[in-house]
Amino acid sequence: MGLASQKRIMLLKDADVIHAVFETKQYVKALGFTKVDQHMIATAVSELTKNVLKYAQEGEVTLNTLDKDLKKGIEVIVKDNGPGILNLEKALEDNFSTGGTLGIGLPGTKRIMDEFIINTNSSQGTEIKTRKWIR
Amino acid sequence: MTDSNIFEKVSMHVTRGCLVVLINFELVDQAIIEIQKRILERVHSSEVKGIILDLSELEIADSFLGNAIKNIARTAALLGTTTVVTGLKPGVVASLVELEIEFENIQTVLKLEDGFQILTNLMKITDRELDEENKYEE
Repeated sequence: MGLASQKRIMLLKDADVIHAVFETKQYVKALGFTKVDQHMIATAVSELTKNVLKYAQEGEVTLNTLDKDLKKGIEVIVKDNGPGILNLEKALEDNFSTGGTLGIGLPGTKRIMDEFIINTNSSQGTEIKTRKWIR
Repeated sequence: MTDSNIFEKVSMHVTRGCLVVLINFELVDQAIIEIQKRILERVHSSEVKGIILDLSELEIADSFLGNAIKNIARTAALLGTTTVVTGLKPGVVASLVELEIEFENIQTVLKLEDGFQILTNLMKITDRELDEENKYEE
């Protein structure tokens, strides 16, 4: 069986987040994730893509199929050319403030996914590569 | 997104003294903010005793929506109105848990009817209290 094709979605405006979430739902459903996992992965994509618009104005999200040692999964790469995450350690800490608006959803997204790698710097922006495997 | 678009996806009506809001599609943040406003205006103008947020058709709840729900409940409480959330799907619940969004002071029930039950009981209690007060005045 061939691999599902790569899917790339540009992030320029709010509606693109909805589009990315919708495409992710379809993509992970086709891969065979459970319903709960489908919805959780789409939530993670919602968090990450909203960050792009909020902090970098524009970027893109790419969905890839993983197929390794009989394991299947999804890889989500969210990229932008924004100012980078200044204090990465802090961004990865849970935010317990009552307002909840200070956190950028990274710890939660990290918990939802199985693998989570961030590359960020002020000159090249931010790339978050995250994966989840079918259990 | 224009207003008309939002309200194709969100229905809001008063039934049995409760404002029932059905959110059945993922919304952009701006639309969520708009709905928050509309709900509070509606609560204020129609003097409903309770709000039922029906999320039974919703599959994705990110931290923005989760926090918006908390805000709706918090502000509605200031207007003397109780909020009940119904129909959370397992994927939505699991996501909210991972995102550490806790609905501390919000009642959540599985079925819409249970939401009505909770709010109707609350209303009965309030009515009874009022009756008691009236009795003393007579």
